[in-house]
Amino acid sequence: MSETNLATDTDLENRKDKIQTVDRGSISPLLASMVIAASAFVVLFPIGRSQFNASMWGWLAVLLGLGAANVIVPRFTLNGLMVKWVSIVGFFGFMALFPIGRAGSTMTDFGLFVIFGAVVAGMNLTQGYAGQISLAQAAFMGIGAYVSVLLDFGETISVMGFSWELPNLPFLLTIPIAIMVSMMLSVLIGFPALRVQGPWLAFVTLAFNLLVFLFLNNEDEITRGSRGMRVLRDDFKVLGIDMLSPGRFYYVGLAYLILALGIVWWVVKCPWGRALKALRDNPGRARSLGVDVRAYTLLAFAIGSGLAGGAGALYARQVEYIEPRSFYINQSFDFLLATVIGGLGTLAGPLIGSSAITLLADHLRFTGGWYRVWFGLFVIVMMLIAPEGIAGTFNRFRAWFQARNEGA
Amino acid sequence: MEQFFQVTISGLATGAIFAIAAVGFALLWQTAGAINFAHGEFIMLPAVLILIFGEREPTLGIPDFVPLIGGINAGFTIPPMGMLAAFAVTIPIAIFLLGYVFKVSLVDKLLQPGGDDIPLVIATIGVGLFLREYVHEAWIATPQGFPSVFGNKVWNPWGVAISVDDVGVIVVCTVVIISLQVFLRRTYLGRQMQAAAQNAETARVLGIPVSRMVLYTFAINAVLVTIAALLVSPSVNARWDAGLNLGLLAFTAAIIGGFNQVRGALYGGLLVGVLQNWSGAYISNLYREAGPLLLLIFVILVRPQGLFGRAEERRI
Repeated sequence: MSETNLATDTDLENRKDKIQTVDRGSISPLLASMVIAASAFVVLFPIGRSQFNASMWGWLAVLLGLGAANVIVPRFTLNGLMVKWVSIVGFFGFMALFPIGRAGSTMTDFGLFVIFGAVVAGMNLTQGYAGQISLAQAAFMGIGAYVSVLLDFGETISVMGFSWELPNLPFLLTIPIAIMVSMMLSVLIGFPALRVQGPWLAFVTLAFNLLVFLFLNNEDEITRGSRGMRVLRDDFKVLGIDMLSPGRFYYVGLAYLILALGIVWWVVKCPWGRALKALRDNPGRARSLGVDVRAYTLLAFAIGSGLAGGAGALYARQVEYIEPRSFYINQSFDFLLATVIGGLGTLAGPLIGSSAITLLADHLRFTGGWYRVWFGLFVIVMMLIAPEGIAGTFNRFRAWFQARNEGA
Repeated sequence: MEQFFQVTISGLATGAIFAIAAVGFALLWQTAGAINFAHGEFIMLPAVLILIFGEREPTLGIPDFVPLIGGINAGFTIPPMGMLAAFAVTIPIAIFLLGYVFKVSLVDKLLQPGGDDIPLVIATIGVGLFLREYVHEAWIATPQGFPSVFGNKVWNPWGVAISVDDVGVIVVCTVVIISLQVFLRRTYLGRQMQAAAQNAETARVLGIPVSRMVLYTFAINAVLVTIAALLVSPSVNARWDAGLNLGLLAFTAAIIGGFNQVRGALYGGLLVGVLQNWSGAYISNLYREAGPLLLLIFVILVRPQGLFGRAEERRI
């Protein structure tokens, strides 16, 4: 008697579980497949209209590889850890082997892809985990770029009549300095903005981005204004190999991207990262458990901005020319776009998003500027039907498959 | 001293336009709780439409950027109709697109009561990107001159050069703001709208159709941005990226003055306009926008509810 009771109890629980997962899965695949169809259209539309070149294949590989690994593998094994490692190793293996035998212009695209990937990863930390929108990511990148370049080449700058000879530091040392400067500035502007709840940080960072642009554009004696600065070739050797040639610098960017993703991963996994997640999911409860909302959010914002600063130092070496226009507000909007398209609060999201604004955008350039119109439309539609982004949609698919497997 | 008066008067004129834009921004926040990051593009789009209707000969048909079926031209053109007529034509279009379509397709879908406002913020940023790039690709890629409806004469009383345009702008803005206030305070409809904004639940219990009142607010916002577009465009030109700066300054004005009151947004707008002109004239013309933006950061630091606002009691 008691045993039958027990059985029905577990049965009920099972059914409840199933109802919940199937419920979540049964509506969402329709929406998710619409998102996939839309992105497939954007990917496949250029066929026959422009050269189906290496960056295109790269984008497809990133998108489909990550997606397939996350969707198909769980059908055969329920061990999520293995899936994760398959996709991570597969992705970075592909990225490491990709440059062999490629043209320089392709490598420039891919260099931008990995550098912007780090920027978007930082933004993803601020937005996806701490729930605050930062619209100054381009400004922090610009700060990092200018700080690093000025310190690297021993320029003489004059401020209010005094002239200083800046030190001539090695390239690698300027990256942490760029990161530190960006983090300090982000704390300075984040501190007032995060004092109150609400989207204030978005406004303040937007204003800050314009201020930074005005400074870079107008302080001729320091930044050479709108003429921009040519970034000279320094020598930066690892094991006797000059890493600053266009083909090889990609690996520096890739290393930085892996570092950035590692930092984000560690932040999310370590105790106060969990506090961040709790904060995002239920701020009221997190606060009542003693989580200092403001400090954690500020820290996440600072780390995100610091990653952008370091990426700026690399960006300057990658494109070999920096000008204030590259760090204007619309670049920040692009990063936001990438973060949202990729998927908030996931690790694969920044990669997908960054590839969309670099590789895919580069490939769609034959449409004139129309691809940017589609991007805008895509973001709106995405917010309406799949606010968790492409990576989040893949996760939804996985949940659906799992629910089906368990149901069978 | 002459220069000071000159700079201040033209600053007041610009500020009056920002005030109108900021009032629209604040109205949306009060009634719907919506923060619109595409507000600048909402000013830019009517400006471009007015210019196209007023001075160009727009053609009707399916343009060639539509995949597969594009490039069909219906074959007739609308003759240019002059700026004021174009303004009159643009208002219903703006009410439909920036009011009705925006509310029904985005705000209603994304803004659940008590929910997160981040999705709507991101979606409006997407709207801004879409409008900007669309105008850039489809209509105008380079800045186009935009004639002032008041002409460009300059008066010279007591050695102070005052442009007729500035005076006209100040007069029109004053009329608009006063009539908006009279509408909100003295008419039955306006009071219903205020009730819906202050406490939607109670208003619903009292039989006020809250959702329709919110829709009316969106329509008012659309009219306000169209007026702002007509007035501001002679100085910034009709250009696809005008919205970036205009939007930033409009919500700077709204935040400085205080989000949750029409009065606050009004003073904030005037303050931003004057401050912008002062920092342009007395510090450096290169740093025109820097004054308001620094004030914005300062205000958020010391008085987040705005200089003229009261502390938020309702949401958040």
